Amino acid sequence: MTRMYPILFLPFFTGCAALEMAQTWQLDRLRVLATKSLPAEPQPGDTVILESLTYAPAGESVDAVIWFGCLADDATAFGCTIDETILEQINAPPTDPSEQITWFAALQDAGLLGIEPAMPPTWTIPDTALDSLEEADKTEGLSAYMNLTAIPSEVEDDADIELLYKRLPISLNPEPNQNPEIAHLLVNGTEYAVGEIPKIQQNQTLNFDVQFTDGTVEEYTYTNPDTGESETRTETPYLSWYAESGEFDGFVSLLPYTEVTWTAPDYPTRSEIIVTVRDRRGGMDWLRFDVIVGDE
Amino acid sequence: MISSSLISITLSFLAIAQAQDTRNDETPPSEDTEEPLPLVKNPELLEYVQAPYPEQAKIEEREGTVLLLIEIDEAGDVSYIEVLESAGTDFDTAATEAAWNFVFSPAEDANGPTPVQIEFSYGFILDASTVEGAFEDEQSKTEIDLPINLDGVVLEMGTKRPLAGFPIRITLSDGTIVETETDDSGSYTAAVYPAGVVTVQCTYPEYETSTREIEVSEDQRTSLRIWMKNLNYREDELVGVYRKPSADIARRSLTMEEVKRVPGTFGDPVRVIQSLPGAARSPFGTGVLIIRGANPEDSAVYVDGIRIPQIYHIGGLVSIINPDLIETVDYMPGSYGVQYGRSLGGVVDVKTKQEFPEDNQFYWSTDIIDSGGLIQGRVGDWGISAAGRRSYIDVFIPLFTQNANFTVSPKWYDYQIKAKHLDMANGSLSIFAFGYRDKLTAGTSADTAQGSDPDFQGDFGSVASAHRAYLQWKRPINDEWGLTITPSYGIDVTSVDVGGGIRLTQEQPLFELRAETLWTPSESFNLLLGTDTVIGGFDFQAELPFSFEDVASFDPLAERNPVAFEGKGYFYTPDFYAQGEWHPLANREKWVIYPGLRYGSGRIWDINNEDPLLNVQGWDPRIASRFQMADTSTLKGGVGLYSQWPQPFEVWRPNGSTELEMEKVLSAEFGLEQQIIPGLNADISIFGKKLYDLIVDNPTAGSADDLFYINDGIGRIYGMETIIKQDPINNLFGWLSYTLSRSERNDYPNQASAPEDAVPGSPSTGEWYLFDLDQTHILTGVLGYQLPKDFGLSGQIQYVTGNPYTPYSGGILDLDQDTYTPYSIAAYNSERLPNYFAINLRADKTFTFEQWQLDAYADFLNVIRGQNPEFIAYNYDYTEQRYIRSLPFIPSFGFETAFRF
Repeated sequence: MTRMYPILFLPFFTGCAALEMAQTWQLDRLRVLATKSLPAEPQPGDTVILESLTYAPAGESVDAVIWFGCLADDATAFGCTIDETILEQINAPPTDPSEQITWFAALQDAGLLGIEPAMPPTWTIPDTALDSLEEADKTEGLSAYMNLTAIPSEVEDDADIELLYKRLPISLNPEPNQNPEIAHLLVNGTEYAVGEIPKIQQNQTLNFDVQFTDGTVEEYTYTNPDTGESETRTETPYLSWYAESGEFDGFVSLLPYTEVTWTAPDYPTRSEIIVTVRDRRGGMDWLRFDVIVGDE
Repeated sequence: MISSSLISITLSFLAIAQAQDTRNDETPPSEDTEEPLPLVKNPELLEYVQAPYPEQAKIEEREGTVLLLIEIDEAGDVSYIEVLESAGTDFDTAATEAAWNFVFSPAEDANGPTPVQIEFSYGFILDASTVEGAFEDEQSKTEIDLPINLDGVVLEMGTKRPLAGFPIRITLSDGTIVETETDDSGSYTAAVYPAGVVTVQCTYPEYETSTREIEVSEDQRTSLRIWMKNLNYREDELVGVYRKPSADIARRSLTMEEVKRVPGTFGDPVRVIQSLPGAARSPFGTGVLIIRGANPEDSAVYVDGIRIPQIYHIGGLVSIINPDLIETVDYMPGSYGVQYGRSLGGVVDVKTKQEFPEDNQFYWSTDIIDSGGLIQGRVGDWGISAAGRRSYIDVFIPLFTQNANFTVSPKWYDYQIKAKHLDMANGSLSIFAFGYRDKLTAGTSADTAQGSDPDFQGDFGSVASAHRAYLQWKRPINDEWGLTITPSYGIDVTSVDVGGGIRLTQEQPLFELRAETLWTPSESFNLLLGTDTVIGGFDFQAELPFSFEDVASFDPLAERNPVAFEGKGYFYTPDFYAQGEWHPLANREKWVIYPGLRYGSGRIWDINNEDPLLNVQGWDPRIASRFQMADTSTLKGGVGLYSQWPQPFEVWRPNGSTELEMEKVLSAEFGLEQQIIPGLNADISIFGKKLYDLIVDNPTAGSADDLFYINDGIGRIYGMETIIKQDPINNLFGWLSYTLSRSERNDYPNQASAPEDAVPGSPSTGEWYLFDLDQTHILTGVLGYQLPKDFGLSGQIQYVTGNPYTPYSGGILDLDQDTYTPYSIAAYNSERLPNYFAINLRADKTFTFEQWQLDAYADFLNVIRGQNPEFIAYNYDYTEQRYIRSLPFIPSFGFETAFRF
C-alpha cells in the first residue's frame, strides 16, 4: 500500500537538483528526437514509410537505428516485446547468402521493420490489425507500437544506447490524420528561409517561433464510440526545442504561446537548434537549423 | 520585635495523582511509580501560618531559607512534609511546624481533586527592628496616632500578579525606618512622618530588590506602585514529558512550557512528537506523522477528543492550534485504549487549556512563517479564550525562487474560541470552536507552457478547511457514576484544481457525539462505557479531462472524453466501547489490568446508488496491563485489534458498492519502565504489528464498473523503542530516544504470479517490499539548560537511517509523450539513502517589563550543515542522478509578547 503525501518544498529542491544535471533540451548525447510515418494514420494493408530524426554530437555518429513494430496485443507498457535472441541475430548475420534470406525472414517475423540508414524502415500494416475492434470503434482505431534502438558508433555502456517507443494510430478513419508541417522559422518575428543562418553575439537572446503550413493544423471530427455523438475538434500541437549550447527559457511551447527565448552561450560557437512538433494524434515534423554565435 | 517569614511556592508540582492512601505524619512520601495525570488546577495557599523567628538565630543574626517538600491531599490539607534544603535545625523545625498548619485549595486533574507534592521555600530574614531593638513600640505608636499618607500595591513585573506578604521598608528623611507588608491583594499602607522625600524598598527572595525615592506630604495621600522582577520566571514551568496511567500504556503527554523550547519546533509543541520514540523523521523538517512504520494518513489526530483531518497546516510546519492555547499533547504510538478507533497507526490528542487567568492576558507571537495572537480572561462566571493566526510565508518564498520559472504561494489561517463556565455547582461546561483554512497555489506566468498537455496549462490550486464546534458537559451523578457528554458539529471543505483540467470539490458536514459514563462500584474496579458516533454527509463534484476508460486503457494518442460527475450522500458510524480498569491485588497500584472492547460499524450511501458504498462492522478487543515489580520497576504490555476505514477517495464508486472492508492491524507491545536514579527514568518497549486487509489498487480495473480498490494488502511492522529521560533538575532537562524498527508491505500476496508487464521487484509483483518511509534506526537526543536571568539554551541531535528508494538504471523514451519512463533492474525500495545526521540549537530569553514580557528565540537548524539526502532526483533520461538534500543551515527567529491588563 503506497500513498503519497504533499510536501510543500519538494518542488524547490527538486528544481535545484535538476538544474545541476543535463537538461532535456541540451543536445549533448545521442538522441532520437522524432519519427515520422507516411501516412500518419494508415489503414490495415497500407505500407508506411518510416523515418527518424537522430542527433549525435560532433565527433560521434549513429551506427544504426533498429526498428521493430507490433500490434497492441503483443505490446507491454514499454512497447513491443522483443526476443533477445532476435537482437543477437541482428548482430550476427550469416555469411552464407543463402542463409541470409532465412535470417532476414525470421527477423521480419519478429517484427523487424528496418535498420537505418542501411535498410530504411517500412511497415505493411497487417490486414487483421483492427479485427479485435467492434465496427463502430474502427473509425477511431487503435495504436500499434514501434520500438527503436539507436546505437552510437562507440558503445561504452548501456546508457549510451537510446531506447524508445512510439505509437502508430491505425484506423478506418475516412479523414485520417496528416503530419503537421512546419512552413518556416521565425527569428525575432522575422521569417527565415531554409538554410539562412541567424547570427548573434554571446549572451544575447533570440526569440524563436515557427509557422505551420496552412491546413496542417487540422480540424477533425471525433465520434464518441459510446454515445455516437460527433464533435469538431482542433489539433493542439506542441513544440519541443533543443540546442547544442546556450539556454532555453522553456523547452516546450504550445499554442497560443509557441515562441521561446534562447540565450546564446558566452563563447563563440556554431550551435545547432532543433524544433520538433507533435500534433498529439501521432503526427510529427521537425526543423533543424544553425545559429552562429559571435565571430565563429 | 517583628520577625518576617517569607514564603514562595516555587518549582514544579510533582503530582502523585490517584494515590489513595491517607498519610499521617510518620508516613513516608509516596513511592508510587504510577504516573500522574496533568494538573488542570494548581493548589493555592489559603491559610498561611507565620513561624516564630528562632531565638538563637535572632541573637546570632542568622537568616535562612528552608526548602520544604509539602504533600497536599485531596482536601487541601498538608499530609507530609520533608526538608529538601536545610537552613539549620532551628529554622527547619520552625518552618516545618508552621507549614503543618497551612491550608491549601486542593490541586485538580481531569478526574477532580488529587494529591500533589509542591516545593515550598520558607524564608527567615531579620528586619531592622530585630537588630536595632526598640522599634516595635515606635512603629505601633506611629500607626495608631498618625493618618496614613502613603499607599500602593506591589506587583510582579511582567505578569502583573499582586504579591502578598512582601515586606516594605521605608527610610524617612530623618533616618527613621518604617516597615509594613502587603496584604492578600498586594496592597500596602504606611504613615510616614516626618513627610518629605523617602526611600521605599521591597526585598524578597527570588526577586530583585526594588528601591524608589518619592516625596510624601503630610496632608495628602501619595500612592506608589512597586514592580518586583522575578529572578527566574521559568521556574514556574511544568514538567514536560511524562506518562499518564491509563489503558494507553504507551501514552506520552507533553506539556507546553518545556517542550516548546526544543530546537526545531518553531515553538510548536506538537512538533516535539518527532523527538519521541516511535516517530520517524519526516522529510524536510515537516511535521508529517510517521508513527511506528504506519502511513501518515493511518495515524489519527484529535483536538480535545474531536477528530480532525489534519494537525498541521499545509507544509507541515506549524500545527493548526495556537501553541499558547495548548495545555498538553498526548502522543500514543500504539497500544492505546478503546476510546480511540478508526486508525491503524498512532494517535495524537491535543488538549487545550482548561484554566483561565483571573486577569486579562494578551499574547502575540511572530516568526518568519506566521503571526498570531491570543487573548484570554474572564467575563462574569465564564473564562474566555480567543486566538487567531495568519501566515505570510508566501511573501518570503519568492526570495528563494528567483531563478525558478514558477511560483508557490501557501497561505493559511486558523482560529480558536473557547469558553468555560467557572462556577458551576456540580460539574463543568465548556464550549470550543476552532477551524483553519489552508490554500496553496502554484503556477507559472500565463505565456509559459506547463508541460505539453493542453488540459493542464492553468495553475495548481488547493483549499482545505475544517471547522469544529463542541460543547462539553461533565457531571458527577453520584459517588459511583459520572457522565461526560461532548456533542460537536463541523464541516470540512476541500477543493483541488490542477491546471484547469482536474477540478474536485467536496463538502462534508459532520455531527459527532462522544459520550462517556464512568462507573466506579469499588476501589478495585471501574468501567468506562462510551460511544463515539459520527453522522455526516458528503457532497462532491469532479471534472476530469478523461474518462475512467481513458485512464484504464491509456493511450496518449487517443481522443479524450471529458467527464463530470458528482456524488452526494451520507454516512453514520455508531461506535461503542467499554473500557475496564481492574486492580486484582489488595495493593491496588501493584497490578492494573485494562480490558477493553470496541464495536465499530459504519455505512455510507450515495443518494443515486441503491447499494451502500460501504457497509462495515467489526469488534476490536484490546487488553493492556501494568505490573509494578518493585518501587522503581513496572512491567507493561498490551495486545489489541485496530480497524480503520478506507480513505475518503477510496469509498466512492459510480455504480454499486465498493465492497471494501476495514483495514486491520493486530498489535502487541511489551515493555519495562525503570527508574535508573531519582530523576532519571528509562522506558523500553518491543512491539509488533500484523497488518491485513490493506486497501490496494485493483490491478484488473478497466472501467467504471470495476472495483477500483480491493482489500488484498498485508504488512508487518516490528521493532523496539526506548527513551531515557532526565527530569528537570538543577535547570537541566532532556531525553534520549531510540527506535529500531522495520516496516514492510505486500500488496498482492495472493497473486499466483506477477503480471507480464510488472516491473521486476515492484509492488505489483506480489513480493514483500520495504515501506517507503522505513527507518531502521532513529536516535534523537534533546538537552536543555535554563541559565539565570531567564536565558535558555537547548540542543537536539538526530541520527536516522536513510529512507529506502528504488534505483533506476535508465529510461525508455515514450516519443508520443516526450518523456522517459524509468526502469530498474533492482527490487522496489532495495537501496537506502545515506543516513541523516543533524544538530539543531536554540537560544531563547525572556525579557520582562513592567506590564508585559517578551520571549525571543533563535532556532538554528542543521548547524553542522549536514548534506542530508531526502530524495534522489534524476535527469530527463534517468542517466544522471543527484541527491535532493534536506534543509540547509537555517536560522529562524521569532518572538512572543505577553501583556496583562
